[in-house]
Amino acid sequence: MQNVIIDKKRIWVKAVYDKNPDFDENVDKKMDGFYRSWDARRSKLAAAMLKGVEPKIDKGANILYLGASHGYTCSYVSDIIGKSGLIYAIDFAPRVVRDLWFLCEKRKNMIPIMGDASQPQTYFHRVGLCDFIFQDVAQKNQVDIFLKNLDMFVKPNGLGMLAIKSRSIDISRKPQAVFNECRNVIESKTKLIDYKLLSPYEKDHCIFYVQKTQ
Amino acid sequence: MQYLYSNVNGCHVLDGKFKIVSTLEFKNFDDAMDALKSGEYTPEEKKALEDNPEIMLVNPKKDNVFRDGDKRLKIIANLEKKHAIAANKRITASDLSASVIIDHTVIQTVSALEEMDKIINGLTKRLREWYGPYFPELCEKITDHQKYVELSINALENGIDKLLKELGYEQTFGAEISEPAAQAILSYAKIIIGFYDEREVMKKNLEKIMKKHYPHIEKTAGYSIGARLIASAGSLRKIAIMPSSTIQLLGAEKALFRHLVSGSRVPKHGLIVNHTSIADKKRSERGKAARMLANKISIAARVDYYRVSK
Repeated sequence: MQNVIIDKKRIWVKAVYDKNPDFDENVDKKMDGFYRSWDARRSKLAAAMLKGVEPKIDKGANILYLGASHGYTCSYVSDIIGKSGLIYAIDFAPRVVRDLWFLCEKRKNMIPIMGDASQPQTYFHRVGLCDFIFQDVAQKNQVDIFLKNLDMFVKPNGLGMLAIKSRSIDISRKPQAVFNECRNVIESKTKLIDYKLLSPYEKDHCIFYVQKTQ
Repeated sequence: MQYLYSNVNGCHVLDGKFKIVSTLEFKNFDDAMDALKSGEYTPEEKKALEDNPEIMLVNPKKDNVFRDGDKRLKIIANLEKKHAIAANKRITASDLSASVIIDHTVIQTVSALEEMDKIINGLTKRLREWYGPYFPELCEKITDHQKYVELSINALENGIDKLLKELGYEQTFGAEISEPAAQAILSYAKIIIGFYDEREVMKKNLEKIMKKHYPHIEKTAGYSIGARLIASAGSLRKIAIMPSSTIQLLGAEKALFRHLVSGSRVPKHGLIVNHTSIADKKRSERGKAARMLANKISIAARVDYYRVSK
Protein backbone atom coordinates (compact mmCIF):
# COMPACT_ATOMS: atom_id res chain seq x y z
CA MET A 1 0.00 0.00 0.00
CA GLN A 2 1.15 3.52 -0.65
CA ASN A 3 1.44 5.89 2.27
CA VAL A 4 2.08 3.09 4.76
CA ILE A 5 5.44 2.21 6.30
CA ILE A 6 5.85 -0.99 8.29
CA ASP A 7 9.15 -1.26 10.12
CA LYS A 8 9.64 -4.16 12.50
CA LYS A 9 6.89 -3.80 15.10
CA ARG A 10 5.64 -0.34 14.19
CA ILE A 11 3.38 0.99 11.55
CA TRP A 12 3.09 4.52 10.14
CA VAL A 13 0.56 6.15 7.87
CA LYS A 14 1.16 9.35 5.93
CA ALA A 15 -1.09 12.16 7.13
CA VAL A 16 -3.21 13.48 4.28
CA TYR A 17 -5.27 16.13 6.04
CA ASP A 18 -2.95 17.86 8.49
CA LYS A 19 -0.22 16.95 10.89
CA ASN A 20 -2.23 17.51 14.07
CA PRO A 21 -2.95 14.22 15.79
CA ASP A 22 -6.61 13.18 16.14
CA PHE A 23 -6.03 10.66 18.92
CA ASP A 24 -2.87 11.88 20.68
CA GLU A 25 -0.71 9.68 18.49
CA ASN A 26 2.91 10.48 17.60
CA VAL A 27 3.46 12.35 14.38
CA ASP A 28 6.93 12.10 12.84
CA LYS A 29 8.47 13.83 9.90
CA LYS A 30 9.87 11.34 7.39
CA MET A 31 11.31 11.90 3.93
CA ASP A 32 8.11 12.85 2.13
CA GLY A 33 5.85 14.32 4.78
CA PHE A 34 4.34 13.71 8.17
CA TYR A 35 3.52 10.19 9.28
CA ARG A 36 1.11 9.24 12.07
CA SER A 37 2.00 6.24 14.21
CA TRP A 38 -0.67 3.54 14.35
CA ASP A 39 -1.17 1.59 17.56
CA ALA A 40 -1.78 -2.09 16.84
CA ARG A 41 -3.28 -2.59 20.27
CA ARG A 42 -6.02 -0.10 19.53
CA SER A 43 -6.73 -1.04 15.96
CA LYS A 44 -7.42 -4.53 14.67
CA LEU A 45 -6.61 -3.54 11.12
CA ALA A 46 -3.14 -2.41 12.19
CA ALA A 47 -2.70 -5.61 14.18
CA ALA A 48 -3.65 -7.67 11.13
CA MET A 49 -1.16 -5.80 8.96
CA LEU A 50 1.63 -6.38 11.47
CA LYS A 51 0.71 -10.06 11.51
CA GLY A 52 1.29 -10.19 7.77
CA VAL A 53 -2.11 -9.66 6.17
CA GLU A 54 -1.82 -7.39 3.14
CA PRO A 55 -5.19 -5.78 2.51
CA LYS A 56 -5.52 -4.11 -0.84
CA ILE A 57 -6.96 -0.72 -0.02
CA ASP A 58 -6.40 1.53 -3.02
CA LYS A 59 -6.25 5.26 -3.22
CA GLY A 60 -9.69 6.58 -4.03
CA ALA A 61 -11.47 3.45 -2.85
CA ASN A 62 -14.96 3.50 -1.38
CA ILE A 63 -15.05 1.78 1.97
CA LEU A 64 -17.87 0.58 4.15
CA TYR A 65 -16.76 0.51 7.76
CA LEU A 66 -19.09 -1.24 10.21
CA GLY A 67 -18.47 -0.57 13.87
CA ALA A 68 -16.50 2.65 13.44
CA SER A 69 -16.67 3.60 17.12
CA HIS A 70 -14.73 6.80 17.86
CA GLY A 71 -13.06 6.52 14.48
CA TYR A 72 -9.53 5.52 15.43
CA THR A 73 -9.02 2.96 12.68
CA CYS A 74 -11.26 4.99 10.38
CA SER A 75 -8.96 7.98 10.58
CA TYR A 76 -6.03 5.91 9.31
CA VAL A 77 -8.07 4.33 6.55
CA SER A 78 -9.11 7.85 5.59
CA ASP A 79 -5.42 8.74 5.22
CA ILE A 80 -4.71 5.62 3.19
CA ILE A 81 -7.48 6.17 0.63
CA GLY A 82 -6.72 9.87 0.36
CA LYS A 83 -9.00 12.75 -0.49
CA SER A 84 -10.54 11.05 -3.53
CA GLY A 85 -11.79 8.08 -1.53
CA LEU A 86 -14.82 7.79 0.71
CA ILE A 87 -15.60 5.98 3.95
CA TYR A 88 -19.09 5.21 5.13
CA ALA A 89 -18.48 4.93 8.88
CA ILE A 90 -21.38 3.20 10.59
CA ASP A 91 -21.97 2.81 14.27
CA PHE A 92 -24.97 2.18 16.45
CA ALA A 93 -24.22 4.05 19.69
CA PRO A 94 -25.13 7.77 19.80
CA ARG A 95 -22.24 8.57 22.13
CA VAL A 96 -19.53 7.45 19.74
CA VAL A 97 -21.26 8.81 16.66
CA ARG A 98 -21.01 12.21 18.29
CA ASP A 99 -17.21 11.92 18.37
CA LEU A 100 -17.24 10.50 14.87
CA TRP A 101 -19.24 13.46 13.61
CA PHE A 102 -16.56 15.91 14.71
CA LEU A 103 -13.82 13.75 13.19
CA CYS A 104 -15.72 13.86 9.91
CA GLU A 105 -15.70 17.66 10.00
CA LYS A 106 -11.94 17.57 9.54
CA ARG A 107 -11.76 14.48 7.35
CA LYS A 108 -13.91 15.33 4.39
CA ASN A 109 -13.73 11.80 2.97
CA MET A 110 -15.66 10.29 5.85
CA ILE A 111 -19.41 10.02 6.29
CA PRO A 112 -20.82 9.34 9.75
CA ILE A 113 -23.91 7.15 9.76
CA MET A 114 -25.87 6.18 12.83
CA GLY A 115 -27.40 2.85 11.97
CA ASP A 116 -27.78 -0.76 12.96
CA ALA A 117 -25.35 -2.88 10.93
CA SER A 118 -27.58 -5.94 11.32
CA GLN A 119 -30.30 -4.14 9.33
CA PRO A 120 -28.59 -2.83 6.20
CA GLN A 121 -31.93 -2.02 4.58
CA THR A 122 -32.35 0.88 7.03
CA TYR A 123 -29.33 2.69 5.56
CA PHE A 124 -29.62 1.33 2.04
CA HIS A 125 -30.48 4.76 0.61
CA ARG A 126 -27.46 6.37 2.27
CA VAL A 127 -24.64 4.13 1.05
CA GLY A 128 -23.27 3.77 -2.45
CA LEU A 129 -21.24 1.05 -4.15
CA CYS A 130 -18.18 0.03 -2.13
CA ASP A 131 -14.86 -1.61 -3.01
CA PHE A 132 -13.93 -2.75 0.45
CA ILE A 133 -15.78 -3.57 3.64
CA PHE A 134 -14.28 -3.72 7.10
CA GLN A 135 -16.27 -5.00 10.02
CA ASP A 136 -15.51 -4.86 13.71
CA VAL A 137 -18.78 -5.02 15.60
CA ALA A 138 -18.31 -7.78 18.22
CA GLN A 139 -21.85 -9.14 17.97
CA LYS A 140 -23.14 -12.65 18.37
CA ASN A 141 -24.29 -12.88 14.75
CA GLN A 142 -21.44 -10.85 13.31
CA VAL A 143 -20.63 -13.27 10.49
CA ASP A 144 -24.23 -12.98 9.33
CA ILE A 145 -24.06 -9.21 9.53
CA PHE A 146 -20.86 -9.19 7.53
CA LEU A 147 -22.23 -11.43 4.77
CA LYS A 148 -25.45 -9.37 4.52
CA ASN A 149 -23.53 -6.12 4.08
CA LEU A 150 -20.99 -7.70 1.74
CA ASP A 151 -23.82 -8.92 -0.43
CA MET A 152 -25.70 -5.64 -0.38
CA PHE A 153 -23.04 -2.98 -0.91
CA VAL A 154 -19.78 -4.44 -2.21
CA LYS A 155 -19.09 -4.75 -5.92
CA PRO A 156 -18.33 -8.14 -7.52
CA ASN A 157 -14.82 -9.33 -6.63
CA GLY A 158 -14.69 -6.64 -3.95
CA LEU A 159 -12.74 -7.30 -0.78
CA GLY A 160 -13.76 -7.60 2.82
CA MET A 161 -12.25 -8.01 6.21
CA LEU A 162 -13.84 -8.97 9.47
CA ALA A 163 -12.45 -9.14 12.96
CA ILE A 164 -14.04 -11.84 15.09
CA LYS A 165 -14.14 -11.66 18.85
CA SER A 166 -14.77 -15.19 20.03
CA ARG A 167 -15.89 -14.06 23.46
CA SER A 168 -18.83 -12.12 22.13
CA ILE A 169 -19.97 -15.09 20.02
CA ASP A 170 -19.81 -17.72 22.74
CA ILE A 171 -17.94 -17.18 25.96
CA SER A 172 -18.14 -20.79 27.14
CA ARG A 173 -16.45 -22.38 24.11
CA LYS A 174 -12.78 -22.49 23.16
CA PRO A 175 -11.83 -19.57 20.87
CA GLN A 176 -10.38 -21.91 18.25
CA ALA A 177 -13.67 -23.83 18.00
CA VAL A 178 -15.56 -20.58 17.42
CA PHE A 179 -13.05 -19.46 14.77
CA ASN A 180 -13.29 -22.78 12.94
CA GLU A 181 -17.05 -22.59 12.84
CA CYS A 182 -16.94 -19.01 11.50
CA ARG A 183 -14.35 -20.07 8.96
CA ASN A 184 -16.59 -22.81 7.60
CA VAL A 185 -19.46 -20.35 7.12
CA ILE A 186 -17.23 -17.74 5.50
CA GLU A 187 -15.52 -20.20 3.18
CA SER A 188 -18.87 -21.52 1.98
CA LYS A 189 -20.05 -18.02 0.97
CA THR A 190 -16.85 -16.21 -0.07
CA LYS A 191 -13.28 -16.81 -1.19
CA LEU A 192 -10.97 -16.79 1.81
CA ILE A 193 -7.67 -15.04 1.11
CA ASP A 194 -6.11 -14.88 4.53
CA TYR A 195 -6.81 -15.83 8.09
CA LYS A 196 -4.75 -14.79 11.11
CA LEU A 197 -5.02 -14.84 14.88
CA LEU A 198 -4.44 -11.40 16.36
CA SER A 199 -2.41 -12.39 19.43
CA PRO A 200 -0.42 -10.79 21.03
CA TYR A 201 -2.17 -7.54 20.07
CA GLU A 202 -5.67 -8.71 20.93
CA LYS A 203 -6.85 -11.59 23.07
CA ASP A 204 -9.20 -14.21 21.53
CA HIS A 205 -9.52 -12.33 18.25
CA CYS A 206 -8.96 -13.42 14.70
CA ILE A 207 -9.25 -11.73 11.34
CA PHE A 208 -10.58 -12.98 8.02
CA TYR A 209 -9.64 -11.39 4.71
CA VAL A 210 -12.01 -12.44 1.96
CA GLN A 211 -12.98 -11.73 -1.60
CA LYS A 212 -16.56 -11.59 -2.74
CA THR A 213 -17.50 -14.23 -5.26
CA GLN A 214 -20.27 -13.69 -7.75
CA MET B 1 -37.56 -1.08 -18.51
CA GLN B 2 -37.29 1.82 -16.07
CA TYR B 3 -36.34 1.78 -12.41
CA LEU B 4 -37.21 4.10 -9.56
CA TYR B 5 -34.47 4.47 -6.98
CA SER B 6 -34.42 6.82 -3.98
CA ASN B 7 -31.32 7.82 -2.12
CA VAL B 8 -30.28 10.78 -0.02
CA ASN B 9 -29.98 12.97 -3.10
CA GLY B 10 -33.53 12.49 -4.30
CA CYS B 11 -35.85 10.16 -6.15
CA HIS B 12 -34.26 9.02 -9.41
CA VAL B 13 -35.70 7.46 -12.54
CA LEU B 14 -33.18 5.10 -14.14
CA ASP B 15 -33.21 3.71 -17.67
CA GLY B 16 -32.54 0.12 -18.72
CA LYS B 17 -28.80 0.64 -18.44
CA PHE B 18 -29.15 1.98 -14.89
CA LYS B 19 -28.26 5.55 -15.77
CA ILE B 20 -30.15 8.45 -14.23
CA VAL B 21 -32.75 9.90 -16.59
CA SER B 22 -34.44 12.38 -14.28
CA THR B 23 -34.42 13.31 -10.62
CA LEU B 24 -37.13 14.53 -8.29
CA GLU B 25 -35.84 16.35 -5.24
CA PHE B 26 -37.50 15.69 -1.89
CA LYS B 27 -39.88 18.41 -0.79
CA ASN B 28 -39.66 17.46 2.87
CA PHE B 29 -36.22 15.95 3.36
CA ASP B 30 -36.60 14.70 6.94
CA ASP B 31 -39.94 12.99 6.37
CA ALA B 32 -38.66 11.36 3.20
CA MET B 33 -35.62 9.99 5.04
CA ASP B 34 -37.84 8.58 7.79
CA ALA B 35 -39.98 6.88 5.17
CA LEU B 36 -36.95 5.40 3.39
CA LYS B 37 -35.49 4.17 6.65
CA SER B 38 -38.62 2.24 7.55
CA GLY B 39 -39.16 0.99 4.00
CA GLU B 40 -42.27 3.10 3.24
CA TYR B 41 -43.00 4.97 -0.02
CA THR B 42 -42.03 8.62 -0.08
CA PRO B 43 -44.54 11.10 -1.61
CA GLU B 44 -42.21 11.53 -4.60
CA GLU B 45 -42.13 7.78 -5.19
CA LYS B 46 -45.92 7.58 -4.98
CA LYS B 47 -46.24 10.33 -7.55
CA ALA B 48 -43.76 8.69 -9.93
CA LEU B 49 -45.58 5.36 -9.57
CA GLU B 50 -48.89 7.03 -10.42
CA ASP B 51 -47.42 8.69 -13.48
CA ASN B 52 -45.84 5.49 -14.71
CA PRO B 53 -47.29 2.26 -13.25
CA GLU B 54 -44.83 0.17 -15.29
CA ILE B 55 -41.81 1.49 -13.45
CA MET B 56 -39.90 -0.90 -11.14
CA LEU B 57 -39.39 0.41 -7.63
CA VAL B 58 -36.17 -0.39 -5.81
CA ASN B 59 -37.19 -0.83 -2.20
CA PRO B 60 -35.66 -3.14 0.40
CA LYS B 61 -39.05 -4.22 1.70
CA LYS B 62 -41.25 -4.58 -1.33
CA ASP B 63 -39.34 -5.26 -4.46
CA ASN B 64 -37.73 -8.11 -6.33
CA VAL B 65 -35.22 -5.99 -8.25
CA PHE B 66 -33.71 -5.59 -4.86
CA ARG B 67 -32.98 -9.30 -4.51
CA ASP B 68 -31.08 -9.36 -7.80
CA GLY B 69 -27.55 -8.58 -6.63
CA ASP B 70 -26.17 -7.56 -10.02
CA LYS B 71 -28.86 -5.02 -10.77
CA ARG B 72 -28.90 -3.67 -7.24
CA LEU B 73 -25.19 -2.96 -7.24
CA LYS B 74 -25.42 -1.17 -10.57
CA ILE B 75 -28.28 0.90 -9.19
CA ILE B 76 -26.59 2.00 -5.97
CA ALA B 77 -23.48 3.02 -7.90
CA ASN B 78 -25.53 6.09 -8.86
CA LEU B 79 -25.08 7.72 -5.46
CA GLU B 80 -23.28 10.96 -6.10
CA LYS B 81 -20.44 11.50 -3.67
CA LYS B 82 -20.50 15.24 -3.19
CA HIS B 83 -24.14 15.50 -2.23
CA ALA B 84 -24.08 12.25 -0.32
CA ILE B 85 -21.62 13.60 2.22
CA ALA B 86 -23.65 16.71 3.06
CA ALA B 87 -27.00 14.91 3.10
CA ASN B 88 -25.71 12.04 5.21
CA LYS B 89 -24.23 14.41 7.75
CA ARG B 90 -27.54 16.19 7.96
CA ILE B 91 -29.40 12.93 8.63
CA THR B 92 -26.86 11.82 11.23
CA ALA B 93 -27.13 15.15 13.03
CA SER B 94 -30.90 14.90 13.27
CA ASP B 95 -30.66 11.21 14.28
CA LEU B 96 -28.26 12.20 17.04
CA SER B 97 -30.50 14.88 18.46
CA ALA B 98 -33.51 12.57 18.23
CA SER B 99 -31.63 9.88 20.15
CA VAL B 100 -31.71 11.93 23.34
CA ILE B 101 -34.86 10.98 25.25
CA ILE B 102 -35.98 11.09 28.87
CA ASP B 103 -34.09 7.82 29.51
CA HIS B 104 -30.91 9.84 29.14
CA THR B 105 -31.82 12.01 32.15
CA VAL B 106 -32.60 8.94 34.25
CA ILE B 107 -29.34 7.21 33.33
CA GLN B 108 -27.22 10.28 33.99
CA THR B 109 -28.97 10.99 37.29
CA VAL B 110 -28.34 7.46 38.49
CA SER B 111 -24.66 7.70 37.57
CA ALA B 112 -24.38 11.16 39.10
CA LEU B 113 -25.90 9.94 42.35
CA GLU B 114 -23.46 7.05 42.51
CA GLU B 115 -20.51 9.32 41.88
CA MET B 116 -21.78 11.86 44.38
CA ASP B 117 -22.02 9.21 47.10
CA LYS B 118 -18.39 8.32 46.49
CA ILE B 119 -17.26 11.93 46.56
CA ILE B 120 -19.25 12.81 49.70
CA ASN B 121 -17.81 9.80 51.47
CA GLY B 122 -14.26 10.87 50.70
CA LEU B 123 -14.85 14.50 51.65
CA THR B 124 -16.44 13.59 54.97
CA LYS B 125 -13.61 11.25 55.84
CA ARG B 126 -11.22 14.12 55.28
CA LEU B 127 -13.33 16.36 57.54
CA ARG B 128 -13.15 13.75 60.30
CA GLU B 129 -9.35 13.68 60.02
CA TRP B 130 -9.19 17.47 59.96
CA TYR B 131 -11.60 18.38 62.73
CA GLY B 132 -11.09 15.21 64.79
CA PRO B 133 -8.11 16.45 66.88
CA TYR B 134 -10.07 19.51 68.04
CA PHE B 135 -13.21 17.60 69.07
CA PRO B 136 -12.39 13.85 69.29
CA GLU B 137 -15.56 12.94 71.22
CA LEU B 138 -17.83 14.01 68.38
CA CYS B 139 -15.81 12.04 65.87
CA GLU B 140 -15.92 8.93 68.03
CA LYS B 141 -19.61 8.98 69.03
CA ILE B 142 -21.32 10.10 65.83
CA THR B 143 -20.87 7.39 63.21
CA ASP B 144 -23.39 8.75 60.70
CA HIS B 145 -21.53 10.88 58.18
CA GLN B 146 -24.23 13.42 57.41
CA LYS B 147 -25.03 13.99 61.08
CA TYR B 148 -21.34 14.44 61.83
CA VAL B 149 -21.01 17.19 59.25
CA GLU B 150 -24.10 18.99 60.57
CA LEU B 151 -22.95 18.78 64.19
CA SER B 152 -19.42 19.93 63.47
CA ILE B 153 -20.77 23.01 61.71
CA ASN B 154 -22.92 23.63 64.77
CA ALA B 155 -19.92 23.17 67.08
CA LEU B 156 -17.73 25.49 65.05
CA GLU B 157 -20.34 28.22 64.96
CA ASN B 158 -21.76 28.03 68.48
CA GLY B 159 -19.00 26.48 70.57
CA ILE B 160 -18.70 22.90 71.73
CA ASP B 161 -19.86 23.09 75.36
CA LYS B 162 -23.55 22.25 74.79
CA LEU B 163 -22.76 19.45 72.40
CA LEU B 164 -20.21 18.01 74.78
CA LYS B 165 -22.84 17.69 77.50
CA GLU B 166 -25.30 16.05 75.11
CA LEU B 167 -22.67 13.49 74.28
CA GLY B 168 -22.19 12.80 78.02
CA TYR B 169 -18.76 14.34 78.62
CA GLU B 170 -17.64 16.91 81.17
CA GLN B 171 -14.49 17.99 79.44
CA THR B 172 -12.84 17.53 76.09
CA PHE B 173 -9.21 16.54 75.57
CA GLY B 174 -9.26 18.10 72.10
CA ALA B 175 -6.83 20.80 71.18
CA GLU B 176 -7.68 24.48 71.29
CA ILE B 177 -8.79 25.65 67.86
CA SER B 178 -7.42 28.86 66.39
CA GLU B 179 -9.63 31.28 64.48
CA PRO B 180 -8.14 30.71 60.98
CA ALA B 181 -8.29 26.92 61.40
CA ALA B 182 -11.93 27.13 62.48
CA GLN B 183 -12.77 29.31 59.48
CA ALA B 184 -11.09 26.89 57.07
CA ILE B 185 -12.83 23.84 58.50
CA LEU B 186 -16.18 25.63 58.60
CA SER B 187 -16.16 26.63 54.95
CA TYR B 188 -15.04 23.13 53.99
CA ALA B 189 -17.83 21.52 56.00
CA LYS B 190 -20.39 23.84 54.43
CA ILE B 191 -19.39 22.61 50.97
CA ILE B 192 -20.05 19.03 52.09
CA ILE B 193 -23.46 19.95 53.49
CA GLY B 194 -24.20 21.54 50.13
CA PHE B 195 -23.45 18.22 48.46
CA TYR B 196 -25.80 16.40 50.81
CA ASP B 197 -28.60 18.85 50.01
CA GLU B 198 -27.99 18.60 46.29
CA ARG B 199 -28.12 14.83 46.51
CA GLU B 200 -31.55 14.99 48.15
CA VAL B 201 -32.79 17.33 45.43
CA MET B 202 -31.54 14.95 42.76
CA LYS B 203 -33.26 12.01 44.38
CA LYS B 204 -36.54 13.94 44.54
CA ASN B 205 -36.20 14.89 40.88
CA LEU B 206 -35.53 11.31 39.92
CA GLU B 207 -38.61 10.17 41.79
CA LYS B 208 -40.70 12.80 40.02
CA ILE B 209 -39.41 11.72 36.59
CA MET B 210 -39.99 8.07 37.34
CA LYS B 211 -43.54 8.75 38.52
CA LYS B 212 -44.37 10.78 35.46
CA HIS B 213 -42.70 8.80 32.68
CA TYR B 214 -42.47 5.27 34.05
CA PRO B 215 -45.47 4.98 36.41
CA HIS B 216 -45.80 1.20 36.23
CA ILE B 217 -42.13 0.45 36.77
CA GLU B 218 -42.15 2.93 39.64
CA LYS B 219 -45.06 1.09 41.26
CA THR B 220 -43.65 -2.42 40.90
CA ALA B 221 -39.94 -1.87 41.50
CA GLY B 222 -39.75 1.47 43.28
CA TYR B 223 -38.16 4.56 41.74
CA SER B 224 -34.60 3.83 42.79
CA ILE B 225 -34.41 0.24 41.58
CA GLY B 226 -36.45 1.08 38.50
CA ALA B 227 -34.08 3.87 37.54
CA ARG B 228 -31.05 1.68 38.11
CA LEU B 229 -32.57 -1.04 35.94
CA ILE B 230 -33.09 1.45 33.13
CA ALA B 231 -29.52 2.69 33.54
CA SER B 232 -28.14 -0.83 33.49
CA ALA B 233 -30.13 -1.90 30.44
CA GLY B 234 -29.48 1.33 28.54
CA SER B 235 -33.05 2.42 27.81
CA LEU B 236 -36.68 1.66 28.54
CA ARG B 237 -37.05 0.11 25.10
CA LYS B 238 -34.34 -2.41 25.87
CA ILE B 239 -36.07 -3.46 29.09
CA ALA B 240 -39.40 -3.72 27.29
CA ILE B 241 -38.02 -6.18 24.72
CA MET B 242 -35.93 -8.06 27.26
CA PRO B 243 -36.94 -11.47 28.61
CA SER B 244 -37.78 -11.22 32.30
CA SER B 245 -35.01 -13.69 33.16
CA THR B 246 -32.53 -11.12 31.88
CA ILE B 247 -34.16 -8.40 33.99
CA GLN B 248 -33.79 -10.70 36.99
CA LEU B 249 -30.03 -10.83 36.46
CA LEU B 250 -29.36 -7.22 35.40
CA GLY B 251 -26.44 -6.04 37.49
CA ALA B 252 -25.19 -9.58 38.15
CA GLU B 253 -23.34 -9.90 34.85
CA LYS B 254 -20.06 -10.72 36.49
CA ALA B 255 -21.53 -13.64 38.42
CA LEU B 256 -23.46 -14.81 35.37
CA PHE B 257 -20.42 -14.93 33.11
CA ARG B 258 -18.40 -16.58 35.84
CA HIS B 259 -21.10 -19.23 35.92
CA LEU B 260 -21.07 -19.64 32.14
CA VAL B 261 -17.30 -19.92 31.93
CA SER B 262 -16.37 -21.93 35.00
CA GLY B 263 -19.64 -23.56 36.00
CA SER B 264 -19.98 -21.91 39.41
CA ARG B 265 -23.42 -21.35 40.95
CA VAL B 266 -26.05 -19.44 39.00
CA PRO B 267 -26.79 -15.97 40.43
CA LYS B 268 -30.36 -15.68 41.68
CA HIS B 269 -30.81 -11.95 41.34
CA GLY B 270 -29.05 -8.78 40.24
CA LEU B 271 -30.06 -5.22 41.03
CA ILE B 272 -33.56 -6.18 42.18
CA VAL B 273 -32.13 -7.84 45.30
CA ASN B 274 -32.57 -4.52 47.15
CA HIS B 275 -36.33 -4.63 46.69
CA THR B 276 -38.18 -5.30 49.95
CA SER B 277 -40.06 -8.28 48.54
CA ILE B 278 -36.73 -10.07 48.06
CA ALA B 279 -34.58 -8.65 50.83
CA ASP B 280 -37.17 -9.74 53.45
CA LYS B 281 -37.29 -13.35 52.31
CA LYS B 282 -35.29 -16.30 53.56
CA ARG B 283 -32.28 -17.27 51.44
CA SER B 284 -34.01 -20.33 50.07
CA GLU B 285 -37.01 -18.33 48.85
CA ARG B 286 -35.16 -15.43 47.28
CA GLY B 287 -34.77 -17.10 43.90
CA LYS B 288 -38.50 -17.60 43.56
CA ALA B 289 -39.26 -14.07 44.77
CA ALA B 290 -36.73 -12.61 42.34
CA ARG B 291 -38.23 -14.52 39.44
CA MET B 292 -41.70 -13.28 40.29
CA LEU B 293 -40.66 -9.66 40.73
CA ALA B 294 -38.74 -9.74 37.46
CA ASN B 295 -41.87 -11.05 35.70
CA LYS B 296 -43.93 -8.16 37.04
CA ILE B 297 -41.28 -5.57 36.17
CA SER B 298 -41.14 -6.98 32.66
CA ILE B 299 -44.90 -6.53 32.23
CA ALA B 300 -44.74 -3.04 33.77
CA ALA B 301 -41.95 -2.00 31.41
CA ARG B 302 -43.93 -3.14 28.40
CA VAL B 303 -46.97 -1.19 29.54
CA ASP B 304 -44.84 1.90 30.10
CA TYR B 305 -43.11 1.66 26.73
CA TYR B 306 -46.04 0.76 24.51
CA ARG B 307 -48.83 2.79 26.10
CA VAL B 308 -50.33 5.30 23.74
CA SER B 309 -49.97 8.58 25.61
CA LYS B 310 -46.37 9.35 26.39
